[in-house]
Amino acid sequence: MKNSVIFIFIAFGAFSCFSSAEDIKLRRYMVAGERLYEQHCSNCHQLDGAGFQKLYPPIDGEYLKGNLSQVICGIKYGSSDSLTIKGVKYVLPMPDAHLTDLEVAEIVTYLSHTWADGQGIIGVNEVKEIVKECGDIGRQ
Amino acid sequence: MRILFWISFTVLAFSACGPKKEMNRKLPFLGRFEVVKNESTGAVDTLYHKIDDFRFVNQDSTWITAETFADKIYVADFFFTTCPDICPKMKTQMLRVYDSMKLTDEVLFLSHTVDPKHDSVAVLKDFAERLSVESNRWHFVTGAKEDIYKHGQTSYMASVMEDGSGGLIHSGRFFLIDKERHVRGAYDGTDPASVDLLIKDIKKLMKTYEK
Ligand code: HEC
Repeated sequence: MKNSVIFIFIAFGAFSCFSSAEDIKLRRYMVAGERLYEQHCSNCHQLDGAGFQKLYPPIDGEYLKGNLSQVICGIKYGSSDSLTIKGVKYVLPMPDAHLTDLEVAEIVTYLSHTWADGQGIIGVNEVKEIVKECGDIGRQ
Repeated sequence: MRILFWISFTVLAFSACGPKKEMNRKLPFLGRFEVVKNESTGAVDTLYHKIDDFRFVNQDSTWITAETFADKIYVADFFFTTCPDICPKMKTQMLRVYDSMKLTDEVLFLSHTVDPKHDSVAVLKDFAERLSVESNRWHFVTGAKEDIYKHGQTSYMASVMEDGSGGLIHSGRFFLIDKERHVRGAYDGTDPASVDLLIKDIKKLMKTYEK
């Protein structure tokens, strides 16, 4: 974990003069996202995203791609819905971590690059649009 | 028998000081103790704090009492199934202790819910199954809320209470109980190093019962 943070920093330093603003922004999102994930999510989903027994699900790239809005709403407001990952139904609630839209964007970008074939950034404006629509669904 | 004096002494604060110089450390007796003198023989004896009698129901709807733990060492804690912050950590750590005691039937586990309103027998059953643990080794118990809270406070000296805003405060500690119902250690259930010490202490305690 630490190594990859350091790596990202080194990469940031070494390539920043060649890379586009978008790349730099992505790296910033990834570093922040990783830190936030460790702090708010790894208790349940574990640092490696493998989940814990049948209580807390593994972070699943397929699920993330197919249900991006629900995931974003779940991270933003918590979720008391149940969902099925790889044939196992998970029923426990996920808490509201009181994250800002930017923090949600950073985490989701980190998730999508780490556990799915993430492309680019899921930005703060995209998150803002999505959370407007969350409504009461999943809200605790 | 005459009571010489009472000492209210909470050793809890010193109990989980970390794994320094642990090899020769004798396991303490936690809680109040009482020193008594036997009038006829003149011998002085110490009566240590004991876990009170209790009666709760577990995930299989079986009554769980002090008798369930007769001639067993056990590890106890307080939790609730939907707890967002420290419980996931505690349960990962407790499962580690449980797994390390797979080869013995001398050590059992007892988790008390502090949210009996939500954590019914069925909910606890589902929780235990999801954790993939055997119900004859790890009991998840529920009961009347007052009973659980009182038992936590008097027997384990644990802080279990409602925080006034609908939330629950519960001790993040794991308690080590010997075969005579004495509390022999309290460990920070969210700290892997403290839990390593618990595993060592269980083994140490088991040794004292070897004949
Ligand atoms: C208290 C434990 C807990 C914490 C902390 C937690 N989650 Fe979850 N998470 C769950 C549970 C349980 C589910 C499945 C049921 C549901 O959604 O309510 C879930 C579902 C998910 C899912 C969708 C299913 C999957 O596994 O891919 C994602 C993505 C996710 N969580 C990400 C996060 C992120 C990001 C954080 C940190 C901001 C977080 N979780 C914090 C327990 C937790």
